[in-house]
Amino acid sequence: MKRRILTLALLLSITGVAYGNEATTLRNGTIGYVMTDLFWAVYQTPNAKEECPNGFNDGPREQFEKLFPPGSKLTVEDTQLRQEIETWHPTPDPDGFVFHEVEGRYSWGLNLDGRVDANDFTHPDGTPGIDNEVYRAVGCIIGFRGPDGVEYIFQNKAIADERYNRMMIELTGVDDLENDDEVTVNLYRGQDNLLKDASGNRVMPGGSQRVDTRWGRSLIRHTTGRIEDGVLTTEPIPEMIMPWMNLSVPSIQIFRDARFRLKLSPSNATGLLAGYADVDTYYKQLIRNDSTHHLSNGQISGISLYKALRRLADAYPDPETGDNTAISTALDVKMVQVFIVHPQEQGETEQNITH
Amino acid sequence: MLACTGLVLAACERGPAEPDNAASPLRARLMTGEQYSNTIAHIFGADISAAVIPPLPPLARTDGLLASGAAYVGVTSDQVQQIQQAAASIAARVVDEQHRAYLVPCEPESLTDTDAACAAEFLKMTGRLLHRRPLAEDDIAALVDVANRAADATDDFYGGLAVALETILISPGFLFIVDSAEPDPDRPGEQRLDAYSLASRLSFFLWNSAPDDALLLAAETGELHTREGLERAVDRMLASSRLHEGMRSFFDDMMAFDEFDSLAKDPVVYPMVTGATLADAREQTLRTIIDHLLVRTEDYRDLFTTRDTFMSMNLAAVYGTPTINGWVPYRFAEGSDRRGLLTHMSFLAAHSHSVRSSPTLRGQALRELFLCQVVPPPPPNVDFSALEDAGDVPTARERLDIHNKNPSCAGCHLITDPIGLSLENFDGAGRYRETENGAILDISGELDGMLYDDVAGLTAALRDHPKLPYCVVNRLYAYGTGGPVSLKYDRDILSYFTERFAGHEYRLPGLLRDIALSQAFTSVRPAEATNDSVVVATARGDTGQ
Repeated sequence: MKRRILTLALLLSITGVAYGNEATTLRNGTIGYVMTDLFWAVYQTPNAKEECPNGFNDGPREQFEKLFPPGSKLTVEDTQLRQEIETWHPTPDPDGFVFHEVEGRYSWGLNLDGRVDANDFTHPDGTPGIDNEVYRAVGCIIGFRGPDGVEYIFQNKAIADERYNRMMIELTGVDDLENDDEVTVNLYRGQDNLLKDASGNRVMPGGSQRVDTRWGRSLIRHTTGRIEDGVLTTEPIPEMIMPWMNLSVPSIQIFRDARFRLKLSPSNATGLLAGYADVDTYYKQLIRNDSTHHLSNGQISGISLYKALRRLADAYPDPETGDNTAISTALDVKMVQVFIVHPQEQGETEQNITH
Repeated sequence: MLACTGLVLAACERGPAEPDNAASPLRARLMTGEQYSNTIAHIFGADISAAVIPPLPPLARTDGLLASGAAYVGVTSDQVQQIQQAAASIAARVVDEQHRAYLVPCEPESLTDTDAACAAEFLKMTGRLLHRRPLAEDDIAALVDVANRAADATDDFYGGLAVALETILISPGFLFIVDSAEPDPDRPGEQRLDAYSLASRLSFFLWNSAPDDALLLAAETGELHTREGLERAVDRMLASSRLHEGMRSFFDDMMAFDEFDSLAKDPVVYPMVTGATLADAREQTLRTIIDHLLVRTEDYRDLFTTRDTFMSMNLAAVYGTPTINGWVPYRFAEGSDRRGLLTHMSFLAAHSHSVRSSPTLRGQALRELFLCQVVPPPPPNVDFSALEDAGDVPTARERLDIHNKNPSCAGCHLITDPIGLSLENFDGAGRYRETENGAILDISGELDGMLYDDVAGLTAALRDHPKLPYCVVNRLYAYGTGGPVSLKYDRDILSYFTERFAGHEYRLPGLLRDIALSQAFTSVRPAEATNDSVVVATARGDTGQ
């Protein structure tokens, strides 16, 4: 489909002269969704017996007690500040602590490289070749596990509360939400608060979001995809930037070869975002958004996790060192239908119907 | 009918002549909460008004208007206490360091001592605006004495001034809008409002607020009692932005939007309806009305068929449409069933139950709000069980069929349900739907002999209903003259205004001007109730001391 035609079609729908049925959310081949939930996909079994048979990893508090037993006479500089320095300037070198990687066979995620390797996970539905090394690194850290993990809770809250995080996908050229062999997928950031229900907790479909083309211009991406049996699978986006504000600190994640697999309905889209996360950006986001206080609550040792991420990184080798700079990952995504309003349409809207 | 003389001369330029005995009742009414707030805002500033909850009692809807209930309401001792508290709060703010420099026209010799001259200057100026007529010299002297004694007691000039201002703010002369009459020199044997009463009547009619300085000046100089002077004053008021405020208040009242103060929808059934959504629904309709009638001066009847409205983000979710932030002009699609006020969320949601729509309530509201008809309440012994246990029927039409089968129900429901059933394409929150419980909705109906098939037919039937313009004339005249119309006395004048309204192609400004300039608006007839004669005696020079 040609974008210009579609834009005009959406414009007509906004000005209110082209649509008839208010109950339809797919209009003129276009439907939008806004992100309401986003968290690292962690496959969990009861009591973590399958994926973490040796238990969970220590966090800063536990490591601190082991490094600096009570009673030892050390200065702040030699203890807390040393750990802070390590946290902010980590190295891949071993830290002497045992790190529990996920040992289970299954993981959520997608086969990113098209291969089925020995160390790949298997999807719970039986699909082999799942690439999700971030899960291998974080799956045995309490803070990343739902429903109470600190990362799980805070990120979801931030997605809903912070407009900085207001990412949306817009599908155009859609003939049928059940099956369409080619649709255009556009990524934008919105500018507006989410439409919530009377309780203030649930995000409702049918809201409107203006596209942020000023500060969100660098986040705009375009790709294509196909819909099969109501599931959208997109082609990879070479580099996708995901705004990631948490606890009022603006950060980002960078995903290479990013792709969505989403179950679509007229009111919701639910599924996965998968790709290769840039390791340094991943880590920077983590420690920028979470102080040692929060990391401690989630038993997240930034120092140990960084080493694991570097160790498990599986893509985009540094041309000079040969070390991989990106790590396969998947995120659970939930979205709600939204009407996406483009800037040119905002202007046209006012011109056309102002008397 | 009478020949064209005096004030009615210009009215004879086109159209019918005003009935020769046209006059309105002499009334006393309590200021409404909104009038109180507007008056304080216009005299002292919006910040001071916003800081105080208007302390006036709720009004009983009387003949379609809350404002008409103000002519029959009393004030209890508890309410007097609240009025006093509000007065003290306002007075303290007026003289505080932030406001005194521009609200008090003079500076005292000393901050800690009395200054009778400065106090008199302030109280004379402010008392005139609050009482809507100049205070008598004796009254000013008494107020200055209050200010001086309080200043002496507190060693604070402005503290004393605040006590005197509080005295004005709790006086009946401020709180009650009291008509005062005098012999009409142009019509021997007849009475007319005195100039200050006329100024108040005009101002509360068009602005829903007290007269400003210019209007009081026109009263003071006698201009208001000349044809040219009255026209000048009315035209100035019609051109003022305060007219929009005034007419918003009127239509908010006429459409019974006070319902929104307690309206709630079941969040399980209608999760997208929040308090903010309902507030926006009310605002949407008021914006539409003001834009249609005063900004674009369109035909009043077209309010019920127009696709032009305004949209907000909260509302857009209910209307299933995209929008941008803030309020923006919006036009419903040509092919959609949205057209006119009946299809606004405000009407549809307000006249529904919390969990479902109500054809009966919608039909009743249409007749009572827009046609000024009265639908009797259900008998006290009505048995709702047959309706509640209508069986497994998919739509309201089948559910309400019981009304038609029971003669004691049919009498009233036949005048409400067929209208309301035509709005069943909109659920209890006002969202569009084509089916109910999977069944296609039959929205054909009939309004007073006009048969139609769909919402467009209903809105067109209402738009062309002869009672539609008559009803708004009725309500506006009642609103302007401070109480319900009298079927005994006002039939001819209402017909006259309705005919004139048609002559203006149903443009509101023309109707407002006609009413404001009419003999009926200025002339008064003896009070119909003994209450009125009692309050008239309080009309002159009462500062509440």
